[in-house]
Amino acid sequence: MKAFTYERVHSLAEAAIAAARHPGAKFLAGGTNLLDLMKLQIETPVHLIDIGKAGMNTIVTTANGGLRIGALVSNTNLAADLRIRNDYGVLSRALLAGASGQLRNKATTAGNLLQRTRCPYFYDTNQQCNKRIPGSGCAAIGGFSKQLAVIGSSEQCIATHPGDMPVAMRVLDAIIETINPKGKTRSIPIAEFYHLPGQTPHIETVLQQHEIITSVLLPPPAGGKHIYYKVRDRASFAFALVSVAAILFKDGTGRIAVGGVAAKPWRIEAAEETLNQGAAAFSAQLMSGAQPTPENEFKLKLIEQTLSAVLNEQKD
Amino acid sequence: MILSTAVIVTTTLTSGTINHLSEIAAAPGHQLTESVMSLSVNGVKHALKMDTRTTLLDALREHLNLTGTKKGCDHGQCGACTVIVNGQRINSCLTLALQHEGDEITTIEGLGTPEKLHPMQAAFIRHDGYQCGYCTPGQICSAVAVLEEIKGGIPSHVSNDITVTQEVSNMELRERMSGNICRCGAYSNIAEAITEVYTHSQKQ
Amino acid sequence: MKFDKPAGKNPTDRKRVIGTSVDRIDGPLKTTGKAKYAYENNQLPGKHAYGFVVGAGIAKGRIDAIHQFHAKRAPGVLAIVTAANAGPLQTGKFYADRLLAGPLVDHYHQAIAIVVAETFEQARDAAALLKIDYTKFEGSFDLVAAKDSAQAPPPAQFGPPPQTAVGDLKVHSPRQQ
Repeated sequence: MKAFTYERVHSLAEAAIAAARHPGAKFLAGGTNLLDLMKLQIETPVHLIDIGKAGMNTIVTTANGGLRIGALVSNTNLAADLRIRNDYGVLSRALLAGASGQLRNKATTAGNLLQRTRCPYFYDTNQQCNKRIPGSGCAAIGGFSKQLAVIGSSEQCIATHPGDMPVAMRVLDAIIETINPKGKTRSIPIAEFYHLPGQTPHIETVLQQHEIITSVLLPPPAGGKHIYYKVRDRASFAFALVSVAAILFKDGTGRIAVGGVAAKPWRIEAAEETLNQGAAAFSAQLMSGAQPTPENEFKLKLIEQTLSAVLNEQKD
Repeated sequence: MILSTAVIVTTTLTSGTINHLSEIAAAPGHQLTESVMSLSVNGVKHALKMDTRTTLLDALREHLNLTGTKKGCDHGQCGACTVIVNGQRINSCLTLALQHEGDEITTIEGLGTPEKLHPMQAAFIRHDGYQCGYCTPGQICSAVAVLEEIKGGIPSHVSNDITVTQEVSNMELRERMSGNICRCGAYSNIAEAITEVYTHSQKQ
Repeated sequence: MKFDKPAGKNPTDRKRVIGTSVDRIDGPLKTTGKAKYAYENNQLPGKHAYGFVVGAGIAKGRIDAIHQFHAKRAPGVLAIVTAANAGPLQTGKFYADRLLAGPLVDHYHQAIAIVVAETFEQARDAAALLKIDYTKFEGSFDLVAAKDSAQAPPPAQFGPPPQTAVGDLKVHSPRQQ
């Protein structure tokens, strides 16, 4: 871990001033991803701006009946909120499926969105990685790629976004609200928040330098049956090989997002019209254009079978 | 006015000179990368001067000589470093000591002593919830916090219906404790110890 | 021994110690964080140096050079221990790996250096400043491909001589009969 200077700020305004003073700074919230990466020298900020106690930790009902979730609400508190459990169950389920109790207590909403890949070659600084060092190569392609992307990848990078919460947020049409150091705000639909690797795998989101996520906006409850399936090598405390966030309606329509398969939650709204044709037809549409590796090809069948189980739940 | 002062300062700082200085300040070996802080642990306030990089775990073990909390993986994957901060369990290896000024930290030493055992510690002894004992402080801190989480109505991944408060089954306990691993495999005894304390608390 | 009388009560029957449920004597220490492990027995915090192990970045091959210029000059660094200055490094009777690789590397992340500094954070940071030049050798990771070159191992320190047998599990497995 490279040496850094540290300051704690108590408001967004202070955070903005601190960021302007320190171009090489990073914001510290829970720290459960950032500090992990700093120990391995994958992240090397020279200055940390601790926003952990700078507010942004409430969940407020909005005028139109939606919810505004503060960026610093912990994963535990978000999953346990009764409004989330009752009206946005897929989000609660997704959060509870992730990490461990200790990590959920510390991890934040914004931090969860921004967490970095768990690709073993990204994590091992002995290995080539275009995400860590642009232009250095991708050791994952041709390496151990079981947990890596099957779609949306490029010849530069096959990393996945490892999170559960963003998959549920994708199926809930969440909007990410931000502010930049000059005070300008914007609202980014989560569908537009993440970049696929393309030629620049080191650029993961649309956030500009020192733009802070202040909250996530959920639309009014959509109703329906909320399901989150997570398929993984262990029953707990493991990342998804494949996960499915679903909201299913009685008329046979629904919304599906898949995790563990790409650098962002994978959802194709247009394909959802074929949901009533069954899992095989729908997953063929959803995963059309997939380019798996020989090691992770199994994920395509796994997605189809998981979707089948999810769709069957509606029939119960 | 404060606002305009801030603007002036910002302009100066982005001119390049101060950035260079702050980089030197951040370079290894310079005193500015140490911080003075106060940590409240087990009800006692400590004044500390440490490298800013010091995790809460290393602050406890190396600077306060509270070696009960253990370093297993140092990456948040084993739970041996679990402590209770403001009533919530966290991995102390993935947090800086600096993040906890003003917080109340409870370590295994603060839960009880051999002369005055916490009910969870006593249950672990009765049920032999350990072999080598290295994961044990983390297990116990986690278990104590888990019972508070259950009391607080926090649901879990294995809850059938997350909209209601659940009966705590063996499966529920195992899921909630999944962040604490035990290489010796004392899990079944650990689960029994926690179940005994939970059941006893339900009777009260 | 002649069984010509009734056996009578033995210690297990009497249950004064054997057969009783006894709390382990280390229990109160382990459950309260008072049990001491390894260097925790040292009563003087802050008086020890800290070592950070650097593991090989290749699975099989040779270390050509360990460039220590920057690591040596990092704050707090007291020493960098490698096979070059660690003295003789042997394998043990029951331990097949050398503690420090060098010049040959036997497996991925085999320890190749220990950076010693005044604090853990300084040792870890300095470790990242080591630059290592390797020559990779071809490894052999396919058991089936290598099977024909397999040799019977030499006799062990104890136990029966090595046994080898070649057969066909499909033919001889009981289920098939």
